Amino acid sequence: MSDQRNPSNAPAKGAGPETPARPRLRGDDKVAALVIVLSAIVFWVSTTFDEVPSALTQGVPPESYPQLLLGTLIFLAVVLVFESRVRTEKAKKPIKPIVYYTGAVLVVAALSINWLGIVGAMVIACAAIPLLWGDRRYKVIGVFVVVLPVAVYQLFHGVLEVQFPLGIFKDMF
Amino acid sequence: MENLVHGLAILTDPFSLFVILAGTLGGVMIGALPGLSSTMAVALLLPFTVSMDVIPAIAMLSALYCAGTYGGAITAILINSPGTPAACATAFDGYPLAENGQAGRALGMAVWSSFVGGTFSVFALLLAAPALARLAYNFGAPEYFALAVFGMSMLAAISGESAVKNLIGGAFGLLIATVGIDFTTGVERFTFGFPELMDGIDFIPVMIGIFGISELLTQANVLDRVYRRLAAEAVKLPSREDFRKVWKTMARSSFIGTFIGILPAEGGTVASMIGYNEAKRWSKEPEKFGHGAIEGVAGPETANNAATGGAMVPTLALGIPGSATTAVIMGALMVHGLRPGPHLFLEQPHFLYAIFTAMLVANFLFLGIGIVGAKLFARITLIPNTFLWPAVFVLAMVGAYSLEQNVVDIYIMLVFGLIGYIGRRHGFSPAPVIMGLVLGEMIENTLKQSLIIFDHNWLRFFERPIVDVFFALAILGLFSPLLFKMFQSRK
Repeated sequence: MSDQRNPSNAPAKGAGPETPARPRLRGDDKVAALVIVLSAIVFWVSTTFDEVPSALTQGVPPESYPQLLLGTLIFLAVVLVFESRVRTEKAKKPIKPIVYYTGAVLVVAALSINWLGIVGAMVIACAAIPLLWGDRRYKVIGVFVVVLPVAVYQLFHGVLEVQFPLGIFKDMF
Repeated sequence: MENLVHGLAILTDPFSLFVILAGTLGGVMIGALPGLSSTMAVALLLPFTVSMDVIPAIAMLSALYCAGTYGGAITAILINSPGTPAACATAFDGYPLAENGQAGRALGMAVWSSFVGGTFSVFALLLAAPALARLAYNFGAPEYFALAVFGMSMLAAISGESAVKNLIGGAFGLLIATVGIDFTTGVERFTFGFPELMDGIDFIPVMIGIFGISELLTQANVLDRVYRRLAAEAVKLPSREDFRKVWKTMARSSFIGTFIGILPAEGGTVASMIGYNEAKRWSKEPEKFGHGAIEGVAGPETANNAATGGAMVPTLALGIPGSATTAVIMGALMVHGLRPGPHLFLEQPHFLYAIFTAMLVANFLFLGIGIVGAKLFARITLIPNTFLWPAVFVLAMVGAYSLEQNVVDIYIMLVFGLIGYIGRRHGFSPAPVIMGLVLGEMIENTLKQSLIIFDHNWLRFFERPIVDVFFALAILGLFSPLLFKMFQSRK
């Protein structure tokens, strides 16, 4: 693969080949531990389901099937610990800060729907992501910010008759 | 015959033809874009189809599936970055061919191989699906439960970092399907007091989140990736010499791809890898593989498209998805109020013929599009990621909202996008989660019904021969990665 990298995005100090590799199988141990802990918590939640008379359950109470699955998950997590010992784990690229910023933009856009409406949320995403990802063609971004949200809104509202929350823009559409 | 005529009637309906054409064009374009798989495309476009009749809706998604599988080859050949996971093996020899100035020949071989494999598998679908549905028509709850367990066990064999992680993903999907009110008792399960969760978690936001949003976050981490685009001359039809060289590979890969597709959960990615390996194994010039062997393009491309029709067989005939994309298509059928399986299949046979027709037409359309427009579609990779992925997010957000017109579904999409992203980083594939989600209700209901039939005696499952066969196959499926490794090491 022709995977060339910008010098500005070169690996950070200490991430080079001279750094001693961490034990590779530790990652899956953590994953297995997380699966076991979460499954145990969810198992506990399943014990808090409302009680039902046994005649109504036909012998299969509502918690039994989820508990069977949770038991399976815990068993598989234990197997994962052993399986990971005989498998070489792929090295992961570190998560760059831009991933967190992008995630934050998505969350902000989604949370803004109740106030700014769907069009406002689309505008936020269309403006913020290109800028965040380093695009500086402001005129193109400006056109993109207007055209895409309006086109998508018109398609879904006008053609597919979906009713969207419009927030403060409700008088405009 | 009457049903075939009913099915073919789709060709006389301009709207159906239009959606098949749109699905094919969209499939080739989306398939050509690295990061946008046909599974994600089907999940993203599913909301568009909700307001359509079921036949044009499924015809569009099926056409998208076929064309998207082919589209992945374009970028595999021209920029060494497969548009879809199923095109990974195509890049092994397609890109070296393009580097040698034979991009047109490689693209021509890819489109013809995809057409041959796809068309073969569509006819296989037509023959195998009714037979399988008739066989399964008299299945009771225990047989269905065992069949679904077999389907889930095959997750161990799908491509991915680890068989156990695939199974954990599948079990997680089954667990998500338990959210909401328990049908037998009316008890709320895992709703945490949110009334929006009482009806359970919809497929659409989960699918869009786990395929689309997680990929968006993945792309944010590789913004510095620069592709070296090779120039493509016009697509050349493979020469007579090329065809002479590859016809056996095409025939072999057609069977391999269809067979792998028919196996529950296995899809084009596994098929293309096996297609490539077998093409190399049977080749008279195996040393040329990896350096631009034309059979190295024909083998995986025939196999991955042959898997499309194959994967539709268990999806439609048994209600067990044959691949990740058919799991999403099955979700689409359920959104339209239909439960795939032998009853739907044998009671509405024209439905099969309509899908057969749509897939066949899609194969012919992408053959034409591929020959005429592959060079043009290759330019779609010039769309900057800075505009492509915000557009994907906008479509994802609107798509997740549209079905129930509920903002909570957008939050669910984001949550599953995050889960999908974290999962991918730790080697979990999103496909098993969707398989589990789609099959969850069926597995729970058939298990409960079976236990009631058997008076809660689990051992009575083994009194039924078909159940025994499926359980034996499930054990084989669970251990298939180990068996495969043993087989490989002996060779």
